[in-house]
Amino acid sequence: MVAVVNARTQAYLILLFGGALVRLAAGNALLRYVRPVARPWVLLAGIGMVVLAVVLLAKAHQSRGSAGSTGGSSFGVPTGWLLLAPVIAIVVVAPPALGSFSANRESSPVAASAAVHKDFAGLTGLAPHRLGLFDFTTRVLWDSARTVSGTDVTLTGFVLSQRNDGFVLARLVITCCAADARPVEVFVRNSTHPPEDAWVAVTGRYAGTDKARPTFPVLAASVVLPVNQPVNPYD
Amino acid sequence: MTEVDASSAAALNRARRINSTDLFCLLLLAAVAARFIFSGELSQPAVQAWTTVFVAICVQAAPFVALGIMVSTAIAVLVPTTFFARVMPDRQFLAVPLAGLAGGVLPGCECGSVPIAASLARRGVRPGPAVAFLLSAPAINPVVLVATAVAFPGHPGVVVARFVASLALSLVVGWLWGLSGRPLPTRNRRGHEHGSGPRWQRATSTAGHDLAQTLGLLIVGAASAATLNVTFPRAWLDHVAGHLLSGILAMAVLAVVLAICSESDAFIAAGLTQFSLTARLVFMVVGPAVDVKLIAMQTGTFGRSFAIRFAPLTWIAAVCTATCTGWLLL
Repeated sequence: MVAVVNARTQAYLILLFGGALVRLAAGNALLRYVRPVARPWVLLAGIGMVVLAVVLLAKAHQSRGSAGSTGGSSFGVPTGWLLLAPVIAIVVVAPPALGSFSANRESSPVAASAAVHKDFAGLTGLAPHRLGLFDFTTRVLWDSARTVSGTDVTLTGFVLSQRNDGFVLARLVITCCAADARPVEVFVRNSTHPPEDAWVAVTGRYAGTDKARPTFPVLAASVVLPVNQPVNPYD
Repeated sequence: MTEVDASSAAALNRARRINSTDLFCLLLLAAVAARFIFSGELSQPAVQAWTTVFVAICVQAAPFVALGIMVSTAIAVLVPTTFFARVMPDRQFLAVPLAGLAGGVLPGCECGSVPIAASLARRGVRPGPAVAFLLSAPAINPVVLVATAVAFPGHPGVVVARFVASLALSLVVGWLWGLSGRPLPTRNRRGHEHGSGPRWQRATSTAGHDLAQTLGLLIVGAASAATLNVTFPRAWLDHVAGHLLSGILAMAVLAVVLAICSESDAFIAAGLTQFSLTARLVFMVVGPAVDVKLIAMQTGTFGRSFAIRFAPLTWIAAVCTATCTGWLLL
């Protein structure tokens, strides 16, 4: 059966998978898939797998050299082949961060459940204040002190959809990995219409919530600037 | 068969057929070629989202799998075969709760607990307690409970209910499995007994073998979870959310198909505000016990006939314990 993986191939597969993890954890591409706190653990797991694979390769080499028999290495499992799939996905396909496709699919608005912080710190420094979309939306909905009212804020996100009098700005929030991404959305009232999926930094003032959807904040924007996708694309 | 016969047969085999190293190189080349031939198809938003979710699940779970393999290798190599038989109570009635509570000590998610439960079973832990450990380890550990508390501020009852329901689930299924007298079959036993010689040599071959198997199965699960993530229609959730019973069943199905890690499912549940608290508790109790990723891993580790019985039994038991707990506590 060709499906059986011999000991050397199994070690190579583990080496590739571990190597792909190390490669991801060493750069910013990791942040397209998981939160920054996962970085040391992914790095450790990757290094551990690479070390294990090297030991296994050395052992396979040794046993071939001494006995000339493959008997001791015929225990490979066929599922080992599957390790190639994520390696190819990471190295060859290198998928981008989730964007409007996922934001449009996930219907549950994060803001309705976001009473994570009851006490909000006051905004310090000079306006405009840089805020995450999640932070801004929870402040709008849950902050009794109204720290975002009457001051300029800057929000960064991607354009989810167009409307006559502006566009919907969105950012995906993840708690563990991209599989649990959910969108936070803010309606930006402005005359500019940047293309869908474009990243923009919007500066403006909080202008109440949408009449049709009370959990949907409106920002009256004075400046809309195109920007590069942030290093961490999620909120 | 003598040593000489074996080696000449192996040499003959090598000469006659493609060996796995050749296949390995061919697969890699095909993948690189496909990248250029199908570049249009690969840039479709749905395909890209699928790939991102697939990679995300694999990368996120990899450290937990590595931890699980480390613990299971340590059990396989360091713990004597008779240890658990001596330490665990003779009667499964007592051994099951002990194993269930022991699962709460290990901070991890469900991907790591499958290899650990398998190595416990290989070291002579009986099926009932091993199953109780398998179910409780990802569900009631401190990391998961803290995450639940953060996701549901102002609802401390949810944390208590989650702990009670998940522990009850592991005990009920553990006892039932113990009573049924069915074994917990662990495949590829031969591979594990292969390793002879020094202890570290045995440890590395066991770890390599278990790692390749567990990661391979995780990848099957990640692929099916990513497929459902990208194709599953969310609109019908709003239709069924209003009714208590259909809401509970919908959340129990959603937990299986989404296969979200037990450390983040509380945040998803918190966001599904259209559902009752009991329905969301069902989501958090079913998820760590039965989901498409776990079914794949259990099928590969314990065999198909185990998974066919275990998954439905656990699903029904999880829905019942969570609904009762929710009714009593929430």
